[in-house]
Amino acid sequence: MNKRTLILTLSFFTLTLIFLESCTDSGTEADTEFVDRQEQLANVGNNIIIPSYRALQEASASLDVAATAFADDPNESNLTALQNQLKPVRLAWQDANLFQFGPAESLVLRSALNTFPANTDQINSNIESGDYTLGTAENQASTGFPAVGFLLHGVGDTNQEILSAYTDNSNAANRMQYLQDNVDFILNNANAILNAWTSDDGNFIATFLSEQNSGTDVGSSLGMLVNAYILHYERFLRDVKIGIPSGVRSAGVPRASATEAFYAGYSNELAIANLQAVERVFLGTGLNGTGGTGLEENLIALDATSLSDEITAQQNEALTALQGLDDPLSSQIENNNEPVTAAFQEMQDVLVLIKADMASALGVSITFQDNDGD
Amino acid sequence: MKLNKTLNSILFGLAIFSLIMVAGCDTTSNNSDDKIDAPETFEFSRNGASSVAYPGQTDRLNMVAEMKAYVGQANSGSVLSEQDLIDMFENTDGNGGGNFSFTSDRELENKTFAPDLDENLFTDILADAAEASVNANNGVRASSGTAGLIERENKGSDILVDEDGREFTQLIEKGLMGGVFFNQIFNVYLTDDRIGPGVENEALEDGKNYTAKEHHFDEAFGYFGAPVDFSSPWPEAREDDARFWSHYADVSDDQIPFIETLMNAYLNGRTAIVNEDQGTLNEQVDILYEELELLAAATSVHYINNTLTELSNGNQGEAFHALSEGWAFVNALKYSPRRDITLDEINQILTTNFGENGNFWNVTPQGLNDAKSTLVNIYPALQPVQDQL
Repeated sequence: MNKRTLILTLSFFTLTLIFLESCTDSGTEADTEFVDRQEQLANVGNNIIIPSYRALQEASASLDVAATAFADDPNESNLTALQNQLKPVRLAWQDANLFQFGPAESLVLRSALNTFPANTDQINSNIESGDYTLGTAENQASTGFPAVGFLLHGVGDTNQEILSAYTDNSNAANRMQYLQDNVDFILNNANAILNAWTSDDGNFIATFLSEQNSGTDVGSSLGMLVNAYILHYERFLRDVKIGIPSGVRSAGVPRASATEAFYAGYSNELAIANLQAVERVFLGTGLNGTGGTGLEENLIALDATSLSDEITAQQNEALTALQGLDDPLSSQIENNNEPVTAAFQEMQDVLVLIKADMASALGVSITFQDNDGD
Repeated sequence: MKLNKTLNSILFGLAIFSLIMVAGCDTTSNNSDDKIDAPETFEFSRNGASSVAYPGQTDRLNMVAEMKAYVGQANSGSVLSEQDLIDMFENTDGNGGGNFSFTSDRELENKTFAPDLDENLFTDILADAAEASVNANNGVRASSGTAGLIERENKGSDILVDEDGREFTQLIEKGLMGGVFFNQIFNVYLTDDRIGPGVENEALEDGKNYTAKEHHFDEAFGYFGAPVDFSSPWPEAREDDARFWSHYADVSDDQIPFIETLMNAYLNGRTAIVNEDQGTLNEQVDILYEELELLAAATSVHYINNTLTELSNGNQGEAFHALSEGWAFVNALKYSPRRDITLDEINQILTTNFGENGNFWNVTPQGLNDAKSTLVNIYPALQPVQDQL
């Protein structure tokens, strides 16, 4: 026989082996990082997510108490107390808003509670008619924290004027009702998300930590967490809090009124709190400050220590940039926007690291840009 | 040379082994009598020529595709002519009044579900689309009670929605997938009237290579829109080959193996007709009724989930797009005479759960979750995958 026949025959045999291989269902994949991943999920679930939702629920309950006191006796002191109670809820939200998957997605929590800028025309028309359902698609921007922010800080220039809006002005009673309904709506949603994670009925923490969801594929707990985390960082921290108001997303034309707490004037403080929450999930630091396993340890276990260090360093750069801005952020944007766009760039540098490098090191596919294409 | 001889023997053995193994992967083999085994692709022949034909179905698939494309022009501000739309629906002059890129003697309207015709369901949507396109042309933005344009945020382009926030292209395209394609499969071609024991299955149709019974079943396959070699997993490179219903079988195939189940039922059903085996045919028909209805239900849940996601992401236009799809797929559940869901339940989803008074602007997460629970309760197969769809 000649060499050519030999090669041909051997090739045919090899092809057959490949063909046979494709007939069988191969697929046991070594899962060496399983322990770290489960430890990380348990830490994030038990020490960050649930405490964050609990803190949100508690702050919302306090807001509700203050709102009831204001309704019972609308005076300046009760107004101030209520205004002061809004801020801790909005800060608590910054810790709780990174987890828009599972129950939060069913509740459409983020859009329900924090779509901004508030649509003040719609709010005023709802107040005037007294006919509205909070939580509908139409009312997304006239409900939740931004709406309450407008109602408590934006319906007059001074607290005396604001008080009049609830006592003397036209539609005062309807306005008070709209305020109360919004505070109830916030509390109901905060109760619902906490229950969905912790109650016997909901118990999403068990789903989150189940072995079935312990992989890295689409729909796994890590897949959901990392996708939600990066999506939030990109669109709802970098863009919505900084990029859009500073004009980066609108051809360089700033939109100061699109800041998160435009009427209350503490948008930058909220952005800083949110970036710190992002960092906390990365490091695995519990809401109470206790250290634990986070994405950082997961990366280190995957031999990506230098990437992990790079992310931490860049996150600190972004945090420093935000801390260099002044509230009200709208004034900072109007008077000296350059540091705001510079902060955006620092945040952009974090995004590149977490969206491309971190996700691929973790073996998680980014799915949120997909759409049906029809 | 001795070594060479030994090597030769080994190689010969390997080659034979290869041949046997490769042949072993093929599931078709000849039977002793006239009975055939189900083939792997939807190809059947008689006397060396194909006995499968469904050009009428392909024409109607193309008509819906071109209607969708025409309506889609309104998304970028073109004014639509109601007459053109009706001409396409009725296929005036065999070319949709000059709007189709092809000619055909078939039409969509006379194959539409009769109660839909009684209610002017589609002609009303076509008239509304034409009227709304004037708003689009004037740059009117959509709001509750006003038809107009709304941005699909992920794409950065607009879609035209009606006064209830429903996207016209979806109502028309997916609506006709139900009102014509499902209607014809469920109420015509899979019925005893067309493939029952009394239907001619020996004499060939005039000038054709198929019996009446074979042809009727093939028409039911044609409305599924699948390529003849449709199989799972379906390669992304050939995504466009799977049209309409078969496309959605692929969309949810990871969660529920629709491709395999439906293709097997079509292949085994057609084989049973060749084999004159009414019992097996009836079993396959039962599977088709059940699984096609389940496909519409699964696709409905898919788009409800999609709507929740898009609302979560603050993408109202994307949410309305997804919910418009959901609307049409829930509506499609009504066409099966064997449906597990009641008309009242369908109505409840469409006119209350998807927004009070059938207005998407009124939709709430609660309503969407209620619709999802209704579907999951009625179709238990959806339960384990309800959040993954």
